[in-house]
Amino acid sequence: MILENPTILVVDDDDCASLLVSTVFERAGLVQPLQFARDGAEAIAYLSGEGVYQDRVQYPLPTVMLLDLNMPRKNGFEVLAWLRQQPALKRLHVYVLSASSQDEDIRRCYDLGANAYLVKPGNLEGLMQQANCLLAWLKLSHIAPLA
Amino acid sequence: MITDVFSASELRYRRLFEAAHDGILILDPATRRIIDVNPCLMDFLGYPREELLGKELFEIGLLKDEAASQAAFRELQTNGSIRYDDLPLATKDGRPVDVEFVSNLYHEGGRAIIQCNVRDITARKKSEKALRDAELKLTLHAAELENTVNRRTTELRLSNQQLENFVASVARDLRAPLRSMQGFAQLLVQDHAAKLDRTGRDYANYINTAAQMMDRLLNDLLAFSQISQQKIELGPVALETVVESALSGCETEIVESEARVDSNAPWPAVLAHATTLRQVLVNLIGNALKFVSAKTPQVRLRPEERPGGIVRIWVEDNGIGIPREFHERIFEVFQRLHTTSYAGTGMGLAIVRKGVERMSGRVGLTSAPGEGSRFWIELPKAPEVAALTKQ
Repeated sequence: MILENPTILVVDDDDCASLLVSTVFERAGLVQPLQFARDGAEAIAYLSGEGVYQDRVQYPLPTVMLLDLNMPRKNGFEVLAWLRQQPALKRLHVYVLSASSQDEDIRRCYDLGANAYLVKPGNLEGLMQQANCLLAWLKLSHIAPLA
Repeated sequence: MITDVFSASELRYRRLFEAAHDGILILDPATRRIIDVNPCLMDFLGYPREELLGKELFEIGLLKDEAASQAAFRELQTNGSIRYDDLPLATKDGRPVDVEFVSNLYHEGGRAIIQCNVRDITARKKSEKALRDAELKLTLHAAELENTVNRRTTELRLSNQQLENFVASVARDLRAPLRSMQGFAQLLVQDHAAKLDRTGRDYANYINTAAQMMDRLLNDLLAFSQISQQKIELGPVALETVVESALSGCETEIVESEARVDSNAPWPAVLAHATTLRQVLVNLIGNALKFVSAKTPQVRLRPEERPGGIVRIWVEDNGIGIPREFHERIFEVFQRLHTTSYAGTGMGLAIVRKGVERMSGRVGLTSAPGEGSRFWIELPKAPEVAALTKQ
């Protein structure tokens, strides 16, 4: 099925970058507000519904996760590895959004089950392009229910 | 007369005896006692004649004791001679010396006689020991040096790896705030232009431009670092493919500058690293398309086969040219000759030189202001491979 208003969880330790992403997606026409996690541990807590994240009205389960790789506490690779072990969550779409364009990082992400790998663009225009593209894609791609 | 002959021979012997540089002792085999001694021995051991005559060898320290003496003499009787290469001895005043001792049993005129030659080898022994000590020291030192070299090589390899990691993480971590700076500066201009006055918009644009410049610098620095550090394996490369690839990498600039670009076939194969060579060519072609004069830009790429199995790849342009005094400097990092009129990071040619160096090639140029520039790189020609698949 195609979700009209997908919830996107952005996982990045850089607050400025997250704010930029938020602004850009808003411009690109995203209606549903973005959800944020500041590092891998927080992302896992969010997805597990731990603590404050029990409230699924305020913190809905996402359909797509934009995942940075280089983060404190738990990094992107660890989140991916954990995620694909969770029966209730393993179908979640993960699009890695990283500063790294290293082949071994890309390979590792796909080995861990990432659905796509995007490199953070150097300028606003590039970011807009990615946001537009992503939203257009989500209007095409069928999502399977998580559980 | 027989006595004359005898006397002449006796005289000759006497002269040798007196003048010899080795000590000589004459012994009576029956008594084992010294019956004659030459000046050299007296000088050497410091005993006057009276103190030597009538003594047995062990009494002056040659041979340990009476038992040893008897054993030596028995051997002498049996074999006719005896030799000790290294005997310790002491002079009369107790100074230790080392001697080579040779003794022979003769028969002269019906009676037996023992002649002992005593040679001072103290000095020789000392220098032999010194030599052995020096050799040992040298061996130890060499082993130590090798250890040090091995250790340093490991450290260097480690530090090179750390440097590579360091540069990569610096570039990555510096880029993150740069993206934010640049992004928000642009958003400021785009979304809030109405709230800003002219100056405000200009300021935002300057921030944006500076951020973009810094991003390009970081990119180039990263590229330079990667080219310097990465493992490169050289293999045969079809120049035609790499040149094509480099030209398509410069597609945008070619279109924008409305340049005419020629590539002279046929291209031979060279021993190189394809990715690095492509980067080198992209930078050279990029420069040719950037530093243009008022004329329509023309860029020509052509191969030249040179003696010794070398292929020279020329990248020639009709642009502004470079004064001779800068022909060395332009290859250094962060070197720009025209900071205002032509954009750039000053890294392009540094990357070219480093890349060519790592492929064990050479780079050079001919150029003069107003006469365009002709850059060349040299690489070894790859052996002819009939079915050289395009890489």
